[in-house]
Formats: sequence, structure tokens, C-alpha cells
Amino acid sequence: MQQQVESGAVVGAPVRAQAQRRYPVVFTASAPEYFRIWIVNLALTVITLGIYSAWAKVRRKRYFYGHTLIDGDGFEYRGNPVAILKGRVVALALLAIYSLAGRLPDLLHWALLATAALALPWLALRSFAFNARNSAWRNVAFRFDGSYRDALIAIVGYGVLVPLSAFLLYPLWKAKTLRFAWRHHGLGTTRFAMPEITGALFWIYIKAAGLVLPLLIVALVVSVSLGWLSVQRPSAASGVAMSVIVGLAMLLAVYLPLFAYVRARTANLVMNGLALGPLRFESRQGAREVAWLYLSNAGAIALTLGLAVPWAVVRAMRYRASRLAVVASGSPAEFAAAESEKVGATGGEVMDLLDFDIGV
Amino acid sequence: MIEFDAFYFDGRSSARRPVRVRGGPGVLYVVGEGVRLEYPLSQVRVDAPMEVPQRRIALPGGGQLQTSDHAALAALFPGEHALEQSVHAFERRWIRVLAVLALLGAALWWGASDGLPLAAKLLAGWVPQRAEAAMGKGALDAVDRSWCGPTELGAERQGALRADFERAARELPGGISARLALRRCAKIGPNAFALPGGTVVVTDALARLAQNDEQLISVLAHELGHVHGRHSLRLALQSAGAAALVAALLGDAVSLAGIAVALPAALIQAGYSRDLEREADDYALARLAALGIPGERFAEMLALLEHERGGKRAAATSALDYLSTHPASAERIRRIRSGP
Repeated sequence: MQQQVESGAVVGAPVRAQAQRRYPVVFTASAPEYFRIWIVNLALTVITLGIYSAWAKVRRKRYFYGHTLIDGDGFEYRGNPVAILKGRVVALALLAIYSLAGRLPDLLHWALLATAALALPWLALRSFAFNARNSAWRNVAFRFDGSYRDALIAIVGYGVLVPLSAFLLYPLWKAKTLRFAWRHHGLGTTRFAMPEITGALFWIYIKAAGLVLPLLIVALVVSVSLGWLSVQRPSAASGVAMSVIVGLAMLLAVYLPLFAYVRARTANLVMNGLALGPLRFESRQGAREVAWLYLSNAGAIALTLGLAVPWAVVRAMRYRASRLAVVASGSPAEFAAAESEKVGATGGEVMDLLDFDIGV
Repeated sequence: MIEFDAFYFDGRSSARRPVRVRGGPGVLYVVGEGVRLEYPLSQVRVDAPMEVPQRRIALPGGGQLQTSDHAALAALFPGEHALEQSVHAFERRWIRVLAVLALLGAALWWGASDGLPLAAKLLAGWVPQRAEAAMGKGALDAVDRSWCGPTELGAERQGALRADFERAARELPGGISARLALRRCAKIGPNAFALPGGTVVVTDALARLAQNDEQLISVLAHELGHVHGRHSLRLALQSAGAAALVAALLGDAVSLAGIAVALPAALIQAGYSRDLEREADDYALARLAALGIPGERFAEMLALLEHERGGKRAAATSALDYLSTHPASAERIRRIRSGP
């Protein structure tokens, strides 16, 4: 089970403790197995008109956490379905309010938006905390201790700049929120450390823009001219249909590589900078590989009318795990023992009452 | 007595200690190097059965056992997690899963083809007329902002059109009030459309295209069919439902959700509009019969519209007909001529 690789043992290295050990992230989930879980989850969710979806989520997460192993031990998901159900009810209510907001008089509309902006960081905090506290490895739970003030600054403060700058400052917001989230997470009492990544993230987006801008222009010209043709002759259903199809294909051809590039590079940037005590992480996702992953997954899902979703999900996770490793100076077991001695039971059940989980 | 190997984690550190666990009647013994524990079986919590490498037993005081001996756990805790046990029994057997899949497929097929339209129709009955009117007002504002301007028809012609509309709209059931909105829409061309709440927009180009009042009334009757069936509202509800359905199915594939959700939902949507068009055609024919106008006038009007929009290409549309929101006019004309 122990798949350690000695990587830092230079010949004649004086101190044995300096040796680095590399622990690959081992992912053992199988698509056929998850397919069966997925189908049963779906059926029960349909029968119960969506209520079971919370239980389904717990089952899905338990399956994937349990099949993600480091140094022989899997992760554990402890989420309580009732808390998740509560979160979904809140999310639905927010959605309803949001869709109503458009019909309200202006003043009320803005008041509602302001309230939402103030509530959003709080919701994010509770959601992070819920997920962290309910994720564990070797019976040591993760933690999240971000404050409302910091969340407000990172999420809303920098968030406001995004539309104001015509989305040019989006990477700044992304970097600030990512760093805020990671720096306040920890395993046991040990916090994650993360360097400032704003500059590097901007560079990723700039490169992506340079990479795809020509493609985007071609796609735009083709779809606009097709759209123009179909407006000229509105009854020609074929024209409308063609422009829809071609437009979607163009979207796929441009959006997918762009998306894959940004996703892969961002994941590498974040993971490779991250530290957890004496642990480092190594992420080597390739943009081309990720693009192919997304494209083939989307194709498989479309061709099988959605039946390939479990296969696609397992495949994507397996890829990410295969490109991720933990690098430790010393054994992670020693590390965690020394660092997380002080972690006790923190009254998790009481916290559960306040918490809920928003998200898929 | 049930015995199995496990790892013990005390919850204060992540140190892993191999132990031997013995479960007797009512008691759980944990024995290993430097570990000697004993708990009443009623105070330990096992996690729900599932195909994962390790399952866990939570011990009082925050400790935990992890083991891959699933059989031993099943024997030791036979009655725990009744719900998950039956769920797990389904998950493990392909034959059951495939049966569930077949049922699910049938349910979703029915849901998308009949269930959603039915639900939308029922739900539309619950939406107050006032809310629908507000939606319509918003839609008309949007139309005026981006597509249309005030009508350029003469006052006399406008009066005649309003009289035609009155004639067509008489005998709409109570509560529904239809209004005519005349607009000049250069970008749209000859067209008429019904908005939520009963506003029917008629473009100047359409009014000029019609050769006589009866042809115009037939188009108005068709749009009033949409008003009568509250089609705009139902369509809005249906598309929301279709999007929710597809999102629920594919939601797992999060990263591509944007594209994956939009396309199938659009396809389902197109099918709905076709059904509603036919419903409105049938309503128009019945209405025309009541007014003593031959259905042929409606067919003539559709043919005029088709010709105006470049009907030469219509022949090529049949294969892609499913993608279009209006069924090809040739097909509709045939239907109208063959009688309701």
C-alpha cells in the first residue's frame, strides 16, 4: 500500500532526515461502481422530488473521498445530509428572491442587492467551515477559520472591482479569494500557507488571452455572419439552426482550450505554492491533456445522452489525482502527530446547527 | 465473537496504530501495542455501508477505527443504517441498477414530453393574472427598447385594425383581457407575437402584407390562441423546468455544466413551442369558423408570410424542423387546409 518514492536522496547526502518522500495521491474509484451509485442516487432523488439529493450528495462525496488515498489512508466525508438539505432550501430561497428582484422598484432592488453582498461572505464562510470540518484524514479533521471581515474584503471588496474594471481585474479578485480560502484552511491545527499569486495569475490570463484571441475573432466573425444571414431570412429554419449549431461548435472550440488552459495552470500555480507544515504539493496538470479530457468527456456525455457522466467524472478526478503528489520532509505520519496533538473534539454537532452547505 | 484487523486513530494525532478488534455480545475490545480499550457496543457508531476501501467506527471520546473487513462490520452491526443498507443492496447488483435505469429513463421521457408541459399548464393556473401582466409589461418594454418603435400606420388604418382585433378577441373567457399593440419593427419584418398577460404585438409590415381583413383576423386569432392558452407563461415555466431537469441530470459534470445544460434544454424547448403553435392554430381555426371566416384565409396568410420571408429555402428545412421554434409553414398550411 505504501507507494513512497525517495526523491531527494542525493548520493552522499549527509542527513537522512533531509530526504524528501513523495507520496502520490492514489485514486481507486471505478466508473462502473460509481455508475451504479449515481443511478440509484438519481432515481431516489426523482422519486422524493429532490429531497434525497442531500443524501445522494453525502453518498457521492463519501465514495470519492474514501477512494482518494495518501500514504495508504483514504479521506473521510462526515457531512450530515440534513445540514445539506437546509443549505439547499436557503439556496432556493435566495434564487427565488433573486428572480423576484428584477420586478421590484429600483430602491428596493438595490437594498436587496446590498443585503446579498453583505450576506454572501457569511454564506461562503459557513460553507467552507462545514466542508472543512466534515473532511478528515486519519481521524484528523480539516478546519477553516476565516473571519467575516477578511471574507468581505476578499469576496465583495475585490469583487466590486471586477465589473468596474470591465472584467480586467478578474484575476486579481480570483487570486485574492483563492488565497483567502486556502490560508484559512488547515489540517488539525496546522494552517495551509500560500504565497501571493496575483502576478502569476494575471500572467496566466494574459497568456490565455494571447493564445485564444485569434480563434475567438474567427469564431465571432463566422457566427455573426451566420446569424446575420438568418436574420435576413427569418423563415429559413435551417439558417437559424445552423447558426445555433455552428455557434455552439465555435464556443466549444474556443471556450474549451481557454478554460482548460486556465484551469490547469491555475491548479498548478495554487498547489505548487501551497504548504502544510513540512508538506509541499506537486501538481503537474497539462493544459492540452485537460482540454482533451474536457472535450472527450463532453462528447461522451452528449453521445450517450448523459449516461457517461459517471465515467467522465471518475476520469477527470483520476487525472487530477494522478498529477498531484504530496512531498514531505520526513514521514507525514510523524508530521501530523507532532503538529495536531492539540486537536480535540470541538463541539462539531453544535456548529452543525449553524452551518449548512451550499454548492453542488 | 467477531474478530478483525483495524487501525486505531485516537483523534488527537494522525498516528496510525494497528490493532485487533474483538466484538463480543454488547462489548467492543480494541487491543494493540500500547492500546487496550473497551466500549459498550451501543456507544460506538459505525458508518453506513458503501463500496469504499475502508469503513470506520467512531468511538466515544473522539477515537476511530478504520478497517477494510466489510464482512466483519456487517456481522457486528446487522441492524445499523437500514436506509443505506437497502440503498447499498441496490447499488451492488447490476441487474437491479439496470432495472432502475429503465424505470428512470421511462419516467424522464414522460416527464420531458408530457409531465413538464402538464405541470406548467397546472402551475400557470396558479400564477395570478397580475403577475403575468407584470411579466408582459417587462417583455413589451424590452421589445420597445431593442426592436420596435411606435407604429407609422395612419389613424384610420389603426382604427380598422383595432376593430378587427375586437372581433377576433370577443368571447375570450373571463379574466383574460387581450390588448393590441401596434409597432413598427424594421428588424423583425412582418410578424405578430403574443406576450404574457395578453398583449398581442402586430408589426406594421404584417398589417401591410395582409391582402384583406379576414387574413389579418386569422393571424390575430392564432395569437389570441396563445393568449387564451397562456402559452408565453407556460413556455417560460416549461423552459425553467427543462433547465432544472437537465441540470439535475448532468449537474455532476460541473465543469461543463454551462454548455451541457444549455443545448439539451434548448432542444426540449423547441419541441414544446411546436406543440403550442399547433394548439394556437387549432384555436384560430375554431375561432374563424365561429366568425364565419373560411380557414383558407389563414392558409393564405401563412403562405404570404412564407413567401415574404424567402420561401424558396423552406424545402430544405424539413430535416432541421425539430430545431425551429415554428414548425415549417408548409406543414402548417397543409394541416390547416386538411381541416381542424
